[in-house]
Amino acid sequence: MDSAISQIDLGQAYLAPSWVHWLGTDYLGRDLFARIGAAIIQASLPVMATVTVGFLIAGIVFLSWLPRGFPFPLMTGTAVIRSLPAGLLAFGVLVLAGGQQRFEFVLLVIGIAATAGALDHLIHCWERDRHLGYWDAHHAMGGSARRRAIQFGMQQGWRQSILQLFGLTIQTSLAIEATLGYLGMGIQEPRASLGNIIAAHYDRALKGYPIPALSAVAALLAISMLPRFLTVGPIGRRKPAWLPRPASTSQK
Amino acid sequence: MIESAFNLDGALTTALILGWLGVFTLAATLAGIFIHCQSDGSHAEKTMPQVKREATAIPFIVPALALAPITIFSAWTAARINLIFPVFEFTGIAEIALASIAPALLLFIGSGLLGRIITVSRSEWSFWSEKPFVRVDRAFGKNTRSRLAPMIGSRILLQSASDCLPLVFSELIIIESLFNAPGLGFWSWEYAKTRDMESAAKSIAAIFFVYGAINLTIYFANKSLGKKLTGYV
Repeated sequence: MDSAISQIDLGQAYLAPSWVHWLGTDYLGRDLFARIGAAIIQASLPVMATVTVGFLIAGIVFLSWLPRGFPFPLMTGTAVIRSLPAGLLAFGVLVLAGGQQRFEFVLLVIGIAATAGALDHLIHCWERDRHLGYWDAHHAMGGSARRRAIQFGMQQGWRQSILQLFGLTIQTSLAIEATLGYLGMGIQEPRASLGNIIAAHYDRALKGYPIPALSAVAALLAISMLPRFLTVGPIGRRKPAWLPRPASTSQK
Repeated sequence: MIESAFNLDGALTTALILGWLGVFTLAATLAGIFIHCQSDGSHAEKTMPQVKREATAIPFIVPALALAPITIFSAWTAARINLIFPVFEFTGIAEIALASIAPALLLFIGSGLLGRIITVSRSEWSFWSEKPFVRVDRAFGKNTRSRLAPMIGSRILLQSASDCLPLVFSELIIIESLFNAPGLGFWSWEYAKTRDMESAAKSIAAIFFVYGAINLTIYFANKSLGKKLTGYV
């Protein structure tokens, strides 16, 4: 697949969309549709996987520290990392690393930001809900803190907000990856990323041939909108049985 | 090297973009207050369909890398409006200020700040409208809007800003790069391209400094507002 999408044929450069090349070809005669597909597989999917792994690690760290209480450095560290602009942080880290144009660095920063964000959110939820009446009752009957956090928190009351955060983190991480790709700090040619496809065709788009750049832009737009469905699907919509119904329906 | 990293033009351009962003944020907050004042606020939550409320759960964020090229290209092809920044040396401050509007507007929409202001204004108005002191005022026929508006306005402003500020600053470099706006973000990218990592790091540090200063301002404003709010409750 790599050879097919990066095969250069200058005679085929800037071909208009056709049945052979659905979105036409780029400045090196490579099929644009295949390159956008490759960009999603090579860049966007690893970003999504990294965020997912980051959230899983955050969950494991949260549950493992829960019975002992969270140490101050952990709480402060996660809060500080979460409050920083991740895109700027990633760019700064790559600059400090001597301009290392490696995708692994990008994934590392995205992973750390996602883990810190999720962990900070879980700790915040725990601190907020730990003294609710039924949580105290569960504790008095000998229930464990982990069980409360999983059963009452992650599976019920916190689920919606965790899904929101997960979706938001994926959205911002995809934007960061594409941005760094555009700036030449992420995935490098001949490998494809939506950012470097836009960068390669941006000038030509301004000169009147927008198809390659706009195709990559449309792909970026589509893939970054996907996480919005997380909170409107059946998983996100289900609400805990004991939560009060919205004021609008109860008053009608 | 230091002079180039902290060049005044770069700081001025970034300040102009952030200044316009502040203007848009303020205008949207005032519009939010005005709209809810017109509908008396208390019914705002009831008229909103459930599906729409759930759809706005994840803030409406559009990557600047997607939004900016579409806007620049559309403006040029549809109305022959060139949104790319003019060359700095040959233009006056007024033209630079005018050119900063489009990047600021895209940052405002793309970072989810607009969406957040809409969501927060709706929820804040519903929350405060149901407070006992507001209900008592309403029962006595007093005008609750004028009492609530300043308080809710500042809460909308501060909460939305603190929620969206990280993304605004994340997108600053790319917005400046796409619009060719010679701000701090643009220069840090330029330095990184030419492998002048020291100057790039200084430019990024300058952006972090601005970010920290704005965050601190929001923090202290929140703190002082918190004292006022405890008086209300």
